[in-house]
Amino acid sequence: MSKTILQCSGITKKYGVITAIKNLHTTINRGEIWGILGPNGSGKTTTLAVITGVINANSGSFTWFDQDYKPELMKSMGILLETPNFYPYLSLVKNLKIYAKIKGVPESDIPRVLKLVKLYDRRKWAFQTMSLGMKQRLALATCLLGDPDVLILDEPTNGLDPEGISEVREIIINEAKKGKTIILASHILSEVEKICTHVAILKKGNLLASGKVTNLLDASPKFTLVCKEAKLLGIDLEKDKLIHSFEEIDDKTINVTVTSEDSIEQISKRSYELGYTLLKIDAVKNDLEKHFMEIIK
Amino acid sequence: MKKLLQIEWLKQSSFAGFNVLVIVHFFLFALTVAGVSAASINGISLGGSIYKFPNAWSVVPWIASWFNLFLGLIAIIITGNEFSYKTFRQQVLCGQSRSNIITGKVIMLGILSIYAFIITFIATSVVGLIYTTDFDLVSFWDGSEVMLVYLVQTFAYMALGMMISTLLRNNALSIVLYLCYAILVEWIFRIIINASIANSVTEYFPIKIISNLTPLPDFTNMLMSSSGMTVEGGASPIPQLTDPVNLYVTIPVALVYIGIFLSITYYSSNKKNL
Repeated sequence: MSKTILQCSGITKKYGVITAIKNLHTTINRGEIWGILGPNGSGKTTTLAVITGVINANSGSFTWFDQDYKPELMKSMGILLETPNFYPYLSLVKNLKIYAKIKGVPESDIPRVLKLVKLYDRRKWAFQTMSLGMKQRLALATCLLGDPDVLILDEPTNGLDPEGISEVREIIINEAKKGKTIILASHILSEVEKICTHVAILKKGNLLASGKVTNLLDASPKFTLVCKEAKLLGIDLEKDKLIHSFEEIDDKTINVTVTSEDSIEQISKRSYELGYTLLKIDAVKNDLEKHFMEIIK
Repeated sequence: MKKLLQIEWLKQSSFAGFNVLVIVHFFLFALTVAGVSAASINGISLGGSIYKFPNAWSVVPWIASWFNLFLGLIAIIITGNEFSYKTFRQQVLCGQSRSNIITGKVIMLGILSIYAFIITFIATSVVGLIYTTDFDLVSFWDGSEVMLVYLVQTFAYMALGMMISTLLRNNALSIVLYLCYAILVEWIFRIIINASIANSVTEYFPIKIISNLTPLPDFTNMLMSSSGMTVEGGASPIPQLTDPVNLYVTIPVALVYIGIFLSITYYSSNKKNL
């Protein structure tokens, strides 16, 4: 069994003059849970659409399981892309029967997935009579048909109420625990931080950062420094290249980004040499949201 | 093949639009055939003249051909729905190839053609048996080959509808374009081109070729022979379905058009983003 699930080599997708994806290279291995992050229009959905074969790239290539793309490969994956797409006049069961037949999954699996997303009691309802949240759950049920090894989920909690979000998150976490490979595009950074082992950050089609979540978060530790004339201290430390950057919180407080946690001793020493009296030094908890905002600035 | 048909049947059998259109098609056709049989011209019963064998084999398929545009609309709607519901995309995401989705539709159009063929065959047989007094098995089958031509014609109209629907991906626009082209646009082109270039070119236009598969029957000859009158010049009282030479040209050209419509449909669905 191949270790590499997906390999993208130089994928570029343009819509007229707008480049939605620029020369994307990435590799996703078996069992990894990737979060794809980025603001609206960053190319998250386009990237997923290209690698699932619904949009043709202008250049570059990608392989699934070390094979060039062919539609049949998608049968072993569960894919939820943007909005749930079903026949509005058909019941949930009939809709799932169609997709089960396409995937080559026995119809006996339909009750299992409907129960998993808590739609079994409404299995005879027509799709068009359901709320957006229920439609989203049905889309998730389609993904889970046949218990696929790879899940690609684009904003799976869209339209769900807080309870629904929590339930869907639980389903994803359970699937992840089974050792599945998951690619999850989401706006909800806390969700990605809780679920994902790896993260890719996109902005205007460029891959700005990618790697293990823990590595990304540890990459740039931050500290809060409190002293009189904090801004001047920030400028001096930056000049001395002891900090990467700083952010003024108020007259007496700055947040500094350093290259390693060891730098703080040097900063303390240098501040004293420059005549600043540090009133407080605190480590800033570096969560994904803050890191994300910094990267896409 | 069987799986594609099962999937397509699951989609269409519960679709009210599909069922209503097929039922309306059936009743409009049946009522028209019945209505014509009850009509008379100058005291001559139309049914007794035009529904006798072998006349019935040219008249009933010709009447049935009026409703082929209707079948074309069904083709547009069942294809266009896949784009408007975005289920074409979802099927690709589930591992169905784009070509297979189109093949499922082609099979469905084939079944609709067979349905139209069967109801037309039954209607022709029934009216022929009612109005033919000196019935025998030889005269029953005489001229029935036009049914196969009718089968090609129904499929051609639906293939054209499916191609337009795949290119435009919008049911309303596709229906407007399809009807405008079939009824008006090509006719105007033919008039313009006929006025400037040789007439024969326009004979090969798609709708002209497809509609020529079931040409207007020779009603004058049928009515005159039925009332015992003879045609000046001694023309045969039995109507010719079409000029045999033309039929040999029309059928292959129609098949080429079907091939073109299907090729464009497959190409467009494979190349365009979903």
